[in-house]
Amino acid sequence: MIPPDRGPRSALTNWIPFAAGGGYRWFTGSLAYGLHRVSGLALLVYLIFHILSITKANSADPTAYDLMIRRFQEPDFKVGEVLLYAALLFHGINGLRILFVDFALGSTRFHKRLFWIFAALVLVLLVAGAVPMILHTNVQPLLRDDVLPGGR
Amino acid sequence: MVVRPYVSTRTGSGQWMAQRVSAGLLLILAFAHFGIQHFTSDAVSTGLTVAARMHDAWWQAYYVVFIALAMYHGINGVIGILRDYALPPRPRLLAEIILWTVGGVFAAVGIVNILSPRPLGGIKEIYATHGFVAGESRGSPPLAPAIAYDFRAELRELHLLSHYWDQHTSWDEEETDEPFPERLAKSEPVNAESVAKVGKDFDEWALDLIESPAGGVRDTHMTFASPREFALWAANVRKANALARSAATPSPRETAILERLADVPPYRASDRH
Repeated sequence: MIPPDRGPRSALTNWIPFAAGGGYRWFTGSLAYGLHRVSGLALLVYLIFHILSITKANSADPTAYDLMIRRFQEPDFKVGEVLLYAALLFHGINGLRILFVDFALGSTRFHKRLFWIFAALVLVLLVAGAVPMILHTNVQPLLRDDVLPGGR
Repeated sequence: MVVRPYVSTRTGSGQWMAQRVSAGLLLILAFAHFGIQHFTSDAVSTGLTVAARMHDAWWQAYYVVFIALAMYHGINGVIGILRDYALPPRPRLLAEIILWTVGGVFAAVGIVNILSPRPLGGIKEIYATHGFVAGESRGSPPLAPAIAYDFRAELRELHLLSHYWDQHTSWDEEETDEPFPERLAKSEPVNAESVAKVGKDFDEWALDLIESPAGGVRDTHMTFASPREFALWAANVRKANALARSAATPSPRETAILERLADVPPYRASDRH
């Protein structure tokens, strides 16, 4: 039996079990494929929790929603917010690339160049959005103690 | 003889296309939603602002389409991943039935929630009666530790009220004196005295508006239909907050607020009209 051709880079990762991605030749296409799946699954799980948390705004006591949203501004959820933004950006912009490849760009000549152009777009938007998110100038600024010097 | 391609283009091509059509629509819907909720003034999301948006038919349509498309796209995507593992027909059918059922149930929860908002007037009454909230909260999912917050502190209260005035009430710049956000910004340093002073100015401004019969601009598309409705609501919120604060730690400052606002009539949902 002829072993599958995993390409020239496989030697670098052959010591990692194949199931964990070792010995696999990672290239732009397979990287995009893997990340698209992971980010898509993450967004689906988030969508379900998001639907559940928004029902709180419409409950008998809407003020409980105010507290929950305030909780989302703490550092632990802030990490999740940036990850969510990263997943949404990658899935959306890589999805746009897939639409391009499927419908507008029959040729395979530009796939790699297209991938790097879109990856750069993801990175630029990620940094541009994550900075205001981490500096929390964008969310509930009115309810934070640290933008209100002196306190009560 | 026609050579058929090895890849399956015969089954699932409808789903393949539907996945791409929904993707194109979701690109617009999801990025707009995320941008609005994280990078604009709508990031100040409270029970009141969410309820106000749920009462707008255009926003309802937006969210219903969004939820349905996102759930369809997500479940269809998972089924596409499952297909790669080439399960035997029966487990595969079972998995697909479970996935569509779970997705359908959660989508239904979200859509029913969007389409059945509680009356906005009732929500405003809750805030006017009990004031802003104080208490502990976890997140969702509730794995993270709970943290306690108090939105009734006077400075935070004034900032939040100024946000509601600015973003959720129509007002005429010429006609209505902008009451407090700018005054608060100008009154440096911010300390107990300057906050109390801005609070006093605010109460006097609100009492004037409550007594004015016309009440300025009317716009029923806004959370507050007129400056008068906002003033009446905000004065009630201030009263309830001061009452809660003085119950915790009585002080002449809270007593002064309560005395100033003693004759303010209670806010009722009908005050919108």
